[in-house]
Amino acid sequence: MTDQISALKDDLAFMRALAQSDKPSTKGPAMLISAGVIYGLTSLTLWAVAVHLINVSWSTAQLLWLVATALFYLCLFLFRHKGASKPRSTARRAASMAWGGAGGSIFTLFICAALIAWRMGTPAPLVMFPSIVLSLYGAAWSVVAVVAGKRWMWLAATGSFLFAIATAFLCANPASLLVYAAALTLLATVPGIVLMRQAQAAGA
Amino acid sequence: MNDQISALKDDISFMRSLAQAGQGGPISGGAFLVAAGGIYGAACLAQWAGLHHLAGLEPSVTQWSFLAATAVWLVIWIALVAAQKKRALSGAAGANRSFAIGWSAVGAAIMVNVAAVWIAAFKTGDYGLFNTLASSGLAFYGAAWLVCGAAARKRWMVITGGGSFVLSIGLALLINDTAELLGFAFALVAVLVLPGLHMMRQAARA
Repeated sequence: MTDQISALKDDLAFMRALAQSDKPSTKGPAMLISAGVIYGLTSLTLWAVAVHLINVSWSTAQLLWLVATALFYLCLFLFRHKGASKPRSTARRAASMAWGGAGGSIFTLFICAALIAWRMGTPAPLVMFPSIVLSLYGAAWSVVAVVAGKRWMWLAATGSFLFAIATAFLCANPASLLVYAAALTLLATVPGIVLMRQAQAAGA
Repeated sequence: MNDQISALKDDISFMRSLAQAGQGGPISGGAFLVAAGGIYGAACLAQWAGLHHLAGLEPSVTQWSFLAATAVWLVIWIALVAAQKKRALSGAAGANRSFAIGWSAVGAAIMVNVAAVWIAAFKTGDYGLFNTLASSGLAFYGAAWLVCGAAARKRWMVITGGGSFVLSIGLALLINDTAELLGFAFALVAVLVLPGLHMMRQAARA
């Protein structure tokens, strides 16, 4: 009898831990907000340079991407323990890695675009970068949408793919930087704030 | 009272086994990777052979190899999806679902990226942009492998993801060189065909 109750307690504790470990974390939303704000502002500043609202040479202004990336990695470091509990369910682990995988791809492709631009002697591959980033946002939102089953996340996924096409259509036009800033605000900053509020309400 | 507790214990044990079932076991879907890697790998080799006028192949013919590969891939993909639907998923249902989600999402992203490159190339007249597709494809594969590796808790999948990123950078260094096609064929075998065969063997054993 005592053994049976003990086994029962073990099983219940296991399932409770499984449920509790998957409470929403504030780390993911914090990273989304950081990415949206940092790269959105960078894009906006570069647009201002491109249309001569700010008097800085275009090649010097490109260094802002490197500054933005350094800032983003600083945020990644600072938020590394923020409300982070390791997800235990298979689907939650996949969702959690969706943004990590997209981040890894973006970092890799940034190096690739720089190498290709250098080897081909043209900045064209770098011009494609916003479109590539937004395609990866679409992939990450798709994974998270399936796991969370939230309709608005599907909108974010579809929106990412549409913005990826739009930025490709506008490439080599300064307006693409404005569109990219808008996309980052709508697809990273705003959803990040929504998810942050949800995580805080759930007591993460 | 004892019977009630015993029934309760059985029910909870059953639920626990269900919860744990999604965390292990073989993952189906390897055939998709083998087919995609094999078809596009063959297209790379054909194009490379055409550029070097080998085996009687000419660039005017082999330049269409990727379009032909996409047509073949679509037919095989439809057949594989139909076959998959007939088969019940094995024990690792959660990991199988994550595998399908991860690769479907990346597949959609690759299609959007290809469309974006076409649009940008037409708009700018810079057709060299197509050269970026091999590197970006491999980086996208890396993301899919990381998602699958995290979901299934398989270290070899995470390593394959890291390998995809490294090969992506390697291909960027080979840009404007016909060796890039050989490198892409090698990469497709390394990150799609071989892992796919491994998954198929594991699924067959289970």
